[in-house]
Amino acid sequence: MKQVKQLNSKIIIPDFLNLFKDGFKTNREKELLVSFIKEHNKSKNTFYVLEIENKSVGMVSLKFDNINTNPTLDVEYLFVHKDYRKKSFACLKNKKISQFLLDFVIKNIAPKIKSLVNFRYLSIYPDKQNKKLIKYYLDLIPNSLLLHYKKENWILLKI
Amino acid sequence: MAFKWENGKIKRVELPKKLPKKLAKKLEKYWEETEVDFSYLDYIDELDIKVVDETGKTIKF
Repeated sequence: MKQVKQLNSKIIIPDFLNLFKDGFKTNREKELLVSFIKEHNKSKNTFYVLEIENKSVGMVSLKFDNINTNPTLDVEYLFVHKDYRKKSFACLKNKKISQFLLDFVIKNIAPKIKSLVNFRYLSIYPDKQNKKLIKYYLDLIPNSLLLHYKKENWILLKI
Repeated sequence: MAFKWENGKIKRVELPKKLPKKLAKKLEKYWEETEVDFSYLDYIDELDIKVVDETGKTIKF
């Protein structure tokens, strides 16, 4: 069984971290997630957690933002449990968890939100500004745009 | 907005709120001229993924 759980209510930090127990490769990953949970608890974002066979395997955090006054849906954090990284899953049509989460946002969540509140772009800030990760996203998302400004790279997709 | 790790500390990274003219033009051109084909995502429809809220109630997409 697989499902995506949408979280809007206040999250108790230790409880949420426990969902991904042993899933962090570094302390940095955990600390970043805690930062996003704190933002979540100020109603600044929404979490979507992917569960496979009742286990939380990955999550994505979305929020409204804007770039140059253009409304944007920002993928502010994408996290995959370390045991589920770099693997393809038959139950996801042989996609990786990170790929599925992004595809799911683009295919299902973004159009749903856009039908209710208009916006132009989906934005992604590649973690660590890693060149391989930037290429991964650009390959994964056809027709996306790489925007470089003040030493930061953002990937944008017209929605 | 995102966070990045710099010198052992978490630092906020904001989407640019005001772009220089050249980049603003590039962004506008992308918006005006790009046709995005989302058909590569059709596999999602075949997955029968349920979306639920915190109470377990199904959310329709």
